[in-house]
Amino acid sequence: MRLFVKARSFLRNLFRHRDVEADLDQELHSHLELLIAENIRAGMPPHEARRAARIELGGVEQVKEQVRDSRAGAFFDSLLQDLRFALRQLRRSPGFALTAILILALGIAANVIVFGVVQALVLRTLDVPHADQVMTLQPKHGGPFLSYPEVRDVRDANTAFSAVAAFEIQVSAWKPMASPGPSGEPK
Amino acid sequence: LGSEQTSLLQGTLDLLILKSLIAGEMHGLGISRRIQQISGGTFDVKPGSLFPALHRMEEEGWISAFWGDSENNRRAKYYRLTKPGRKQLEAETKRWGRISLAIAQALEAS
Repeated sequence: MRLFVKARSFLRNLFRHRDVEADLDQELHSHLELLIAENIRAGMPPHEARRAARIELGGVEQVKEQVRDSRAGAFFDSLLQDLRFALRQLRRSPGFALTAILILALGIAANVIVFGVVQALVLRTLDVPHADQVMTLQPKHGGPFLSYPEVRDVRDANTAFSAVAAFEIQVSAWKPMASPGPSGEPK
Repeated sequence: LGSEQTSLLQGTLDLLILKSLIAGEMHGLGISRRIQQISGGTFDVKPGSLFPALHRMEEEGWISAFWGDSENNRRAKYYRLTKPGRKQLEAETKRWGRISLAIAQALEAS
């Protein structure tokens, strides 16, 4: 219940800002009128009554500012003000704004590219079922490569894996190099 | 008026506002004058403290506000105590009783 009341005030302060402000303005002006009426009843001349009332109220804008600070969501209010201020400042010095935007764009683009490469080469698993069970086979001696007859021998003698397959790496300027070898899935 | 400036403890203003509204619905100036009256002129609540407190307490749901006509036919924003406000007044009254008792005890100790 209490949370509901607070949430409602918060939303009203955020989305019906104009109404809330108009209400506050009316309230403070009616307060001033009441003070003046009180002073006149106490026997002051109208001019003096108005002056004394203004002194007692102590500045409509200051009181408004104090009320704003006590509202639910005063934080978001000042955040919006800061954002508007930042935008104004950026518009005032477009050279700085453009430089900042370009540097940010470059930084973000570089990150996206590096992540894309890492994602493709390291993070993504092979597009086969049970990719975590796929192994690469390499001969213990004599380099990382197996000839096709050797692959056939491995396949025929295989008891550890459910299947054995070979792949060939074609080295070209744009393809990443990787160590070749037959691969298979354990049973 | 020349009333003695006594600064209010945090939370005490809420208590005084809730207490003054027990007498019935009132506008801001009425509440301020009522607090002056029931505190024997000790507390003169300035608009700069009164209105933030009223708006905060309305957001807490302890009081509700509505626009009405004042005694001399001017529009004024009135406040009235809600059910949670009455509960809050009870709780705050108890809390204040404990605090003032403890302070009195502390000052009597030698």
